[in-house]
Amino acid sequence: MNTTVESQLSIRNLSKVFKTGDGVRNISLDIAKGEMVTLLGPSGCGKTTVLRSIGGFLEPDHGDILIRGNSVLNLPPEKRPTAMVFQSYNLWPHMTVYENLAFGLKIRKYKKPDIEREVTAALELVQLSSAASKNPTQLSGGQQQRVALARALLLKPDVLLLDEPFSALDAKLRMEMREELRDIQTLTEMTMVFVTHDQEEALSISDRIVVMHGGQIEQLSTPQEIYDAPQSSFVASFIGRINVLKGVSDGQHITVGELRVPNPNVALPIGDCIVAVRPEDIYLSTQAGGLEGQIRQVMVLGHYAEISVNYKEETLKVFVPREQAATLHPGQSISLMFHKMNVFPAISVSEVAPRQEAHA
Amino acid sequence: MMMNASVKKGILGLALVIPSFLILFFVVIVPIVYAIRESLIDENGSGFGLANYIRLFTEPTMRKNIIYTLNVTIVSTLLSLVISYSLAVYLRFGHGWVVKWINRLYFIPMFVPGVIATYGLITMYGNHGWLSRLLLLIGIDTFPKIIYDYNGLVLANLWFNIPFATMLLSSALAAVPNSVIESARDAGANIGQLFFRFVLPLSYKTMWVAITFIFMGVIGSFTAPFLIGANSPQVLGVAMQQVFSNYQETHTASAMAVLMFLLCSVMGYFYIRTMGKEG
Amino acid sequence: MFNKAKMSMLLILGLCLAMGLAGCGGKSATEAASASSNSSTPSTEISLYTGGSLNVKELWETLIPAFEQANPTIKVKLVYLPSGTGGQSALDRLLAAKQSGQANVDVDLYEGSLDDISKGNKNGIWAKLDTTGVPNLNNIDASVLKQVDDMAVPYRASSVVLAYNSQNVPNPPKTADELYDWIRQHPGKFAYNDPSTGGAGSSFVTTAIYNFLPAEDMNSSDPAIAQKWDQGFNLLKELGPSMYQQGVYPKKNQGTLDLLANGEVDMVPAWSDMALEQTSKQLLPDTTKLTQISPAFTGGPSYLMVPEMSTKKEAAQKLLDYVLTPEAQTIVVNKMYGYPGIKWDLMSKELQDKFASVSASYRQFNGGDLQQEIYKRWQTDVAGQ
Repeated sequence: MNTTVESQLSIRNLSKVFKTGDGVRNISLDIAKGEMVTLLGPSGCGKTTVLRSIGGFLEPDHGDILIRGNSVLNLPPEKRPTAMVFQSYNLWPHMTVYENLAFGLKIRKYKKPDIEREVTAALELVQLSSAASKNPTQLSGGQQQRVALARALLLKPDVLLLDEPFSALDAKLRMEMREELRDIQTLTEMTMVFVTHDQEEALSISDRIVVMHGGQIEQLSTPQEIYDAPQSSFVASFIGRINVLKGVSDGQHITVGELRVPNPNVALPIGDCIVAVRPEDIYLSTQAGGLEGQIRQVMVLGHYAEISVNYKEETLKVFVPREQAATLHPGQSISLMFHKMNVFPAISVSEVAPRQEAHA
Repeated sequence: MMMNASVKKGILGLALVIPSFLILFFVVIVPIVYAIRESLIDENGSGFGLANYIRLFTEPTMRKNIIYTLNVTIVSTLLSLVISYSLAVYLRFGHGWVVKWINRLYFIPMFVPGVIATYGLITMYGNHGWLSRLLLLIGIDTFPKIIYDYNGLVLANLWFNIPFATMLLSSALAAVPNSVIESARDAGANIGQLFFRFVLPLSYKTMWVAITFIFMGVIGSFTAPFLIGANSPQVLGVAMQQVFSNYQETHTASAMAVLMFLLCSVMGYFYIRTMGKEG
Repeated sequence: MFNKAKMSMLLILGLCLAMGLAGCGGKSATEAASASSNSSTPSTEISLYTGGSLNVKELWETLIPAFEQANPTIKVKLVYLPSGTGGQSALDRLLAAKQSGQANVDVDLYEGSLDDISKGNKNGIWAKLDTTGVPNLNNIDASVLKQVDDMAVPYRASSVVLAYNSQNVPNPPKTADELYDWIRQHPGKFAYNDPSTGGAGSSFVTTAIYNFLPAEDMNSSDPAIAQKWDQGFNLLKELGPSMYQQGVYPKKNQGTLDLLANGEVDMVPAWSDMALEQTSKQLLPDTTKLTQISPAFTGGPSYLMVPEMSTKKEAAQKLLDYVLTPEAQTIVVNKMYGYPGIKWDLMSKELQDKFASVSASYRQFNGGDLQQEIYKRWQTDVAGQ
């Protein structure tokens, strides 16, 4: 475990279990200054529990939370060096946008001209300079969340906490906001912890991703590593899209149907295993030698196409370039080969995460 | 004769409104007009004038009664409001079994008839009531005069008004989203700032509803002040009954009724103005 | 849309009509039933209007069946209006009927006070009574009948007396002055009720004022008498700080009796009938005793009047005659713990002994509107001192 003094935020053996059985168990996590870390997982995985514990809205059963080396466990939310952007109803409906932003500064006894300068700058940062005198109800959902972001940024927290801030927005706006947030983060070099259940969002904005499942950390890596080298079948299936097949390992090689390939995972026990292949890692060929399947559907999605292939009882998804898709048609027999794959020990199917369709 | 659809609809609409208008007219407007007319007739029946009103404000007994009524009403209203608000805030944001039990029990006083509750208060807080006997057991033999006094009256008003006001305010506070409170705390607001800058502004309208209801209920109360109020000064409700039934001065009683109506109208004005405001 | 609305309106109208008809049907059916049960003997039904405490209702519920048994052709309908719910309005109805020139009215007997008699007398709504119609009028003291111009029958009476806790007060005061001295010597141990809310307190106040005046002033409604009240009111003001809680005057006659019952005070003025009844029902402790002082507190009879416009005067007079028999009067005395309307010597010796402690004479206050003036002045001078 890396618990260097430089850690901006350090979570140590955090446990918080609710009466329902949900919660988190023994979580440890270190986040460096200026880092953007995403807590990703399905609902009930405990990601929000971690975030609310950091913000002071939940009291952990065990463990400690340190910000810049000091425990904040005994501080109420208003005393913690954190700020939070909530999922919805962020803005205070009885105050104008300006008052919303100025409130935290007023409490901190800023002088009036200073408040004015800071608020104006913050509004500029989120491109809402014209909205200062408006009521929150007059703003669109995206504008409201931008104001909420500005309000949190103004407080100059040591750690900014974001609790699924864009989940109530529509897909297009959500993408814009993602980019904007990443820009602001780069600009301000603020340490941020971002909670989401949307893997695409996590992959696009994070320095590092914490994949959570059942109250525990499944994997903590950069987005690239998470995608390319998932450490569990849960992570593999939760991040991006993936085809799952049954295989058998003899130590050296993995056998999947007609295919026999070298085993990439040395730790894999001998016997049944799970083979996970991303749609873009499957190569379709008219020449035999791979898994023999039959094309069920060809779906052109802009610059690439999604091909559904029936293989035994399974339907595999394959992404191919648009040009190749033109040569394929339903009913055609086809051979599948893998560029790359991940293998995991066989586990009960229920532990594999439910397929998360992209929200786009 | 042909009637087009909109005319028919208009007539139907009118027909549906007329019953409620008639009820309003005969139950509210006619009695008010009648009371105002009665109040302007001199007590000896000799003609119209403001004599009754002038007497209300110049006779020392009556003037004392009016000031006393306003005093009792305003103090009771403010105390009820403060206690109800505290209770509602506690119920909304507190946790644990105490909250759960208060939540189940606090509205019970609303189901106790006024006369019974008043006698209950007398038995509890009277000169030889349970409370004084309990205090005597632990060696305290001086008991403050509560019943037949100002204090008892305010106490009764609290008993009658706190449950309802708490219920109103609780429902208003339930509508304040948690994230508003949490984001306010997150921004650094302490308990006082939370209440005065967030909870209060967001439940402001309901607070006025509560104030209006308490004010009108207290200013027009009769049973409790009759049974546990002081002999003098009296609240307007009791004084009015005395003037009407015992002195049989119906015109003066009407003038008092109109005065009460005017005092309530002032509250009504603020109430309507608050309700009319946007946002 | 419009048709649908119209349909539902029709439906509602229909429902209302049906319900109305059903209501009427039900009523006529019961009327028919009651008519048929009486068809064997042609009977007259008279209406008796009464009010006051619950014991008045209980009294009549005992007297009426006894009367009906003796007079099977007469039915008595009891209309009881509890105090405070419109006793005034029944009299007002009589007055209004008279003024609007109505020929008859459904009130055949009315129980009321001296005040009601004088109010009705001004408008001539009471019928004159004589011994031809009501032979038992002979049982009544002639002077009492003269006082009401033979317009009313005093069928029962009660007076205000002193009720005291004999355990703490071995030697009760015998005169008014002794009483006032006792109050001064025992601060906080005496209470009288707000005079405008009940006759016991009213009597204490009225006698305290008129004890300083010539006896005949009690029967005068001359406003000039009010000038002579100062001495009485000064006495009441002076007694104020010696009263219960330095000047708390409970509401209603029952208010002071409650204080006596729970031991907060040792002595109160109370209606003899209320105090006797509550002692016998154990609502007041056994140690409670009654005594009359001299000069006596006020009291008064309750009267029965026959409205001039009643069409069933004969039947009403029969009931009056029955009420004035010694048998009926025994019921009255036992039920109401009051005085009989007829002369004491017509009652049984046993009964005379039983009521010896309170049967001393009482005074009557007949000052008309002055009564209200006393209440008003008491409110300002004594309560608001």
